[in-house]
Amino acid sequence: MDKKIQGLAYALQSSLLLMAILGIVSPIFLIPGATFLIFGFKSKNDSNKTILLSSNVNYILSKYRLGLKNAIRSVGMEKGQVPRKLNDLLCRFELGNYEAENTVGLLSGNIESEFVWILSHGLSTGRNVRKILERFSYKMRNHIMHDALLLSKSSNSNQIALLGLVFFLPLFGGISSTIFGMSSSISGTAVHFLKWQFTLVLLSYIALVMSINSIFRNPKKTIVSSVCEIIPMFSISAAIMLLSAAYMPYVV
Amino acid sequence: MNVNDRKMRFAASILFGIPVGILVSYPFQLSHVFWLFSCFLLSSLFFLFFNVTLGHVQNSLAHAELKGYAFDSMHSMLYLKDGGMSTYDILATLSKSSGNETLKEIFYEINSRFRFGVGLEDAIDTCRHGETRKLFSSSEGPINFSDSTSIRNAMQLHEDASSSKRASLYEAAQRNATINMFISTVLPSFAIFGFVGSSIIGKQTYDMSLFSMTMLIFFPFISLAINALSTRRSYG
Repeated sequence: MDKKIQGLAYALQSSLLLMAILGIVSPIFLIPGATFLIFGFKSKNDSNKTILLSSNVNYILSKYRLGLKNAIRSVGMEKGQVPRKLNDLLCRFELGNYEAENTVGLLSGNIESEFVWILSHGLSTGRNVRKILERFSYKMRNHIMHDALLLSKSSNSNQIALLGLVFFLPLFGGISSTIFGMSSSISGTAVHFLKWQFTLVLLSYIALVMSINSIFRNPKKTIVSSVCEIIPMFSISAAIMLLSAAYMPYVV
Repeated sequence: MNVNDRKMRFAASILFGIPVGILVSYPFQLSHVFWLFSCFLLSSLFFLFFNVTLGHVQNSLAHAELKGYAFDSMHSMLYLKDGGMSTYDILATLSKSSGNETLKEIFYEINSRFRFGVGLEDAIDTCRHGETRKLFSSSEGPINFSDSTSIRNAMQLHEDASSSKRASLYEAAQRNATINMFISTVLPSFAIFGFVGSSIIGKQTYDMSLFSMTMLIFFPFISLAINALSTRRSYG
């Protein structure tokens, strides 16, 4: 009987020690999470899509001017002539409204390069490019409108799923694991040894699902970079789960 | 499929498989041989799933993107054609001015065949084992490049199709959001509460094996399948 009590005391002491260590260590997970959240991950080479925040026109203008550099040189056009032509063009594209409404637009790099190429070729050879460029207006408007809607919708859905994985699930898991930290359940069955294994399984689940979501969100990226992207969010969820698992017994 | 991608998928499968294998086999308290076996089995399963799902998604994405580039390049093609440029010169220009490297290569290949006396349509048909013909065809069939109206119609059809597809993608995004939320939070929460509740009320001690297998094999594979299906619908 004494040995049993002694064993229980040791188990209690060691679990308390473990909880204390985890309680001290787990806030450390918050540091990388908060750092990455504040400074953010930014892809250096996002060649697939260029996100243009309220600067569609300026962005196109800058590209357009770059593309026109050689054309202007070869034709010998005056500097003052270019803005007037640009204004005409922009009126035709009706892009001014999008800038005013702060719309998030997406344009693939190829449309722009085609646009700039035809325009510069037309200006350098003196050909009328109105007809061919009218097709672009339809295409660009379509792309900007639908891609903006899609981007907002898909990012919202991702954020909702992430909220569940980062906040709710770790919290539920942390609270549930407290029950396994008890020396016995209502029916008297000893379950305390399962607590940290339970927490570990849940953390692995969160990491797995987060990485799978991240991989499929950007299929063009490499798997390693997609998995590395989850570090900030995962460290926050790990901190929430470990903190709630460690301190919940004292609250209860 | 790129060889590097395959290597990456193999590395990722091992990365996922070994810890999951250890976590799943630990509660069974079996010998280390079984641990190794379960790690190997799970790594192979992940590799298989990654190849089937992610590989398919990546291929569909690459094809859709290349098709988009091909149709974008038709603006220049039409412009040059209306200007009275010869087919050889058009192809030569497009093989330099196109925005995509693969498309540049394709135009170069077609041009080199055309230069050696093969007809344009035949050159497109035979280039890259018929894959090029798939790129340059609309919903009404292959494009006739000798006719400007055919090119214009194809461009219009492609634009209409991509526009309606984008609209349907918007609907799909809402549906996917619900499914994603269900698989990532609701279902595991039910599993947790079910496991915890039954261990409180029930009389027998529950081992962790069932829980670990559900959480680390069953749910992630459902998530993988749902993600693959929804992403394939987006790009395919």
